Amino acid sequence: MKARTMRIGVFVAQPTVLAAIVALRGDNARLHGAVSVLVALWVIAAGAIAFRVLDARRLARTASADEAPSPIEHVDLLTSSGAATLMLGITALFASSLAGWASLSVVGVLGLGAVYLAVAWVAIAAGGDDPWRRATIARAILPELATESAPIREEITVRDVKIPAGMRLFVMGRATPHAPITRYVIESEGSHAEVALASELGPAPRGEHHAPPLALWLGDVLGLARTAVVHRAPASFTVLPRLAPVDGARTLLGKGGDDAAATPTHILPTEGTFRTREYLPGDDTRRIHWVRSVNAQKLVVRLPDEVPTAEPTVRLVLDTELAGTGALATRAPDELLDAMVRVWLGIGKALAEDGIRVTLVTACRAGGDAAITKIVERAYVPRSRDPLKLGARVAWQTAIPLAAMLTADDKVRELVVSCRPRTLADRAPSWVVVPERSWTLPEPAMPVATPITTPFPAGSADNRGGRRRDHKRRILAMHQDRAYFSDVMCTIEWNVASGSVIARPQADRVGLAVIR
Amino acid sequence: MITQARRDRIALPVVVLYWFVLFGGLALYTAVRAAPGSTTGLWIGVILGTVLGQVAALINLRLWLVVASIIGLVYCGAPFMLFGGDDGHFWMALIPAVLCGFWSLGDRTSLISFWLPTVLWMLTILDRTSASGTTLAPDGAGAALLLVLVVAFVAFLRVRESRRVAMWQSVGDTAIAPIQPSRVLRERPGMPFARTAWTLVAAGIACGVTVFVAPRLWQMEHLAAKQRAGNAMAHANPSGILPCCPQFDEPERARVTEYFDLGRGKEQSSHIPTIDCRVCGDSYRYGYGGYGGYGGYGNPSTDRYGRGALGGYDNAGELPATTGEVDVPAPVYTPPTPAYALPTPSYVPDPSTYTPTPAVPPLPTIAPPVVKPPVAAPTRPTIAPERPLPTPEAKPALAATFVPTATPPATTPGKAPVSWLVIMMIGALAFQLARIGLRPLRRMVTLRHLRKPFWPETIDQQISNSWQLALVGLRDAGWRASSVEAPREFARRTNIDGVEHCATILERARHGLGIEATDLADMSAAAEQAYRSSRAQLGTFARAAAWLRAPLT
Repeated sequence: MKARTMRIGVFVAQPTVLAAIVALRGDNARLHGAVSVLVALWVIAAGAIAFRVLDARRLARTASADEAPSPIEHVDLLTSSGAATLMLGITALFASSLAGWASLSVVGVLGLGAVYLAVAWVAIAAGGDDPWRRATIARAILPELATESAPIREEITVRDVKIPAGMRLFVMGRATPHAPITRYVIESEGSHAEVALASELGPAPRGEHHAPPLALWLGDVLGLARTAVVHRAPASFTVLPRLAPVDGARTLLGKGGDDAAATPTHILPTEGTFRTREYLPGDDTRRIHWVRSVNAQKLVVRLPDEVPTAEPTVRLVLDTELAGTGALATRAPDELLDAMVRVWLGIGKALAEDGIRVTLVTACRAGGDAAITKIVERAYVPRSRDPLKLGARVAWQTAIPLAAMLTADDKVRELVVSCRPRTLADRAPSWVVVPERSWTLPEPAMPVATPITTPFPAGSADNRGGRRRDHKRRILAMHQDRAYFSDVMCTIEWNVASGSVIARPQADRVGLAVIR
Repeated sequence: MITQARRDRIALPVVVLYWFVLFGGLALYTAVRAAPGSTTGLWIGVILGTVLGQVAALINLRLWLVVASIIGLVYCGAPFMLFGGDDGHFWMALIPAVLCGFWSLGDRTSLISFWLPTVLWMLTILDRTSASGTTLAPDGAGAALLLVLVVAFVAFLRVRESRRVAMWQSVGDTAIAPIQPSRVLRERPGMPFARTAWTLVAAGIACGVTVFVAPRLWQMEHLAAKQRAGNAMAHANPSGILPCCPQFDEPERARVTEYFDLGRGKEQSSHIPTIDCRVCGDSYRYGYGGYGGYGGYGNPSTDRYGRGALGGYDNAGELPATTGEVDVPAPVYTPPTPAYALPTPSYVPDPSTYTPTPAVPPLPTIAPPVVKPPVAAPTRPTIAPERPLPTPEAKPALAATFVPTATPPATTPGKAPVSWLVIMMIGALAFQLARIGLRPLRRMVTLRHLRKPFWPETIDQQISNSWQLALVGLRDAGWRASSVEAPREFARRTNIDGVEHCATILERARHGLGIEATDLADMSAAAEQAYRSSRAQLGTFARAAAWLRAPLT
């Protein structure tokens, strides 16, 4: 806002400074003539802007008011380069009236004239909604159903945008909060044309993404003025989680635990009829095979020797209850959730392939409505995409606590994949801990400002002090948020997790180890 | 992140254009005005400074370091400044050259970086500026140069903005996605002409505004007033006696003020005495330093106000080295016999143009010196005239009633380079017009060859020719094919009669499938149909404009 105020102020103050120059030079008819021309140019530019402001107010009353820029944005037509040129131009004129150097007056007139003409042209030819009235902007993030970490690309088709001669169309967007920014430029040859744009967005992050609309504006080829920014073409795409093979998933079913908190095996598989042995004292009398015992004239018991006909059931719960992650600047929460989903689905797959009936349980957004969260239970069906689609919908939420996702049936085995095992009232589930430190990447390094060189090539706008400070603030906020997030994640009640399992990355696989 | 090669590549147009404008200004001034060697300091200062500034920008040095380097340079070079012999032009050029060179690649510094090129061009432009009366405007050639300067500025802004856009697409404090080249699938016919028209109109308005406004902001530097004040001081007797009155009113010299103290002086008559004086009957003034003749065009022997270091009429070292007014008693002085015979001045003053003002005191009748004796000046070097001096006939005769008439054209010697420049500009414009004018012919010949080859060609090549013919028609209608799109996909996208049939035959030919006997004739007919169908969608103007289009596909 401060920069905008300054830009508008520079433009508005022009006649005052020109009047001051006239006053400084005294009564000079030739000077009056020159200044009159400059003021006339300013009046033309200011008049065009005023017309556009009125036009914007009219548009604001229409149905498309949400997309229309505010009137103040129509006043703010100068780019920062244009404002600087205007300021330097008027300074040159002022200096020329003091020093008398003709070159300064030429430079001043060049600067002022160029900016006034550019502003007038932009306001007249490209202001309002004229350029966008017939425009069709189609945007797609492809493939629409991608897999996590697979490369994705953005494709945009721009049709029938009016790009007046001497102007360029700028398009900027960002598919996800941590995705690279896409920046496109279309020259005026693309006016009322059909232009295809494309860019590589890199590895896809898991999730159901709703990319915010693209920002579009027109700027003159001299870089002095631009139109107000309009937002068009949001896009949606889904990135399925990538499954990671899990080693030792079978240990989750009763073989974990230490001496202090052993997890007993409650249910053995169904007994078979092919492996038998003589009864020994202490054997369960229910295992006695009476027919064979009669034949053998001694007690014979059956031994478990075959795949059970009814698989054991496991509820695999993903703990997504965590508040405040949306406000954090760090990307660690997203990375951690991606890892949890990967582990969750990996365990589910491993158990299902072992013949265990796995039910995936989590809380996620309902359908296309991001505001409603509900508990979803899905049976894990190998070679089906449903579990993956469910994994793509998972996001941090606070609407449904973990306890609400757990079942009250003690006979059902329940495993909770979580990053922070904690004490739950009336519940003592088995935990699969996904530690934050193991699954997240460090934050980008703080920018180091050297006093000798600029961080970006000369001429780049990112060298500006304001932008450098903003960038530094952003990185600092990422580090601070990361520290805060790590603190929250590290306060694990290890006594609760004792005997449970911890999941760690091992190359492209997931290794499970018992917490002792 | 941007690579070093790419950043150098996108900076190249800015650097090239900046140097072009700098060299243009320097070369033009040198060709028009300066004596050989008299602008050496200026050249070295500009080139060295610009190289330093742009190299500093290209290796991302910060501004404070550049400023510190300049201060260091000035500190180390201070002794040379004090005792240097080029009036400090080297240092006057070096410091702004470093800064402007640095800023030429900087952010938001387009205008300030263009100041030094403007200064250099203004040397020549102001040299062609009339300083007489109340008008202060360059002559035709000067105005043309000003227009060139305006066009150069607009071009400079444009290439800088192109560089900024290229960097905007590849440099940032957050990751920037690598973009693929944009593809125009369909364009509006006639847009190139709209762009050209806009460019011409915008450049015309910018030129008009600048040429109209800028000269009105220029300020004249009246030299005679300063000289008279200086002369009065020189004549002031310590005893309080008034100085001698001049025999005639010195011609007032005026020029437009500029950063570089180089040339640009023009004369204008003035007949209003501004100093108190007494009549000195027994002496005559000699060696009027203030009348610098035609000096002051960058000659190192002129001081800030264009006064010739050589007195008198500044005729190239023949006169004593006086810089001020000297009273020489006539009887005592015996001039040596001149080694050459001066022709009798043939100048006939026009009394009708002279209107004495009432305030003018009666001037003493003093015979002008018949001969201006060359006095040896061993301590002063002989300085060659930077341009042919006026012949003695053209010198105004010294007489009480002398009234200077119109200033002789001071720019005659420098006219040729400017004229050549204008001729070159006109030639370049004519060349461009000829290129555009020949496009219909080129198109006609090409289309003729695509339809009926001028020389025998293979079947495959003839099929390719027919496809090219269809593409020409489609491009007229705004459809653009791209290398990543198969012909049949393109045909389906355009949905124009004949194109799909052409694409089918073309793909068969490309994939080496058998071409039947009738395929060539079919292809030719389908291509012709596609060509005509495409153009049938256009209006009359667009169809006509398509004949000027390039490239064809």
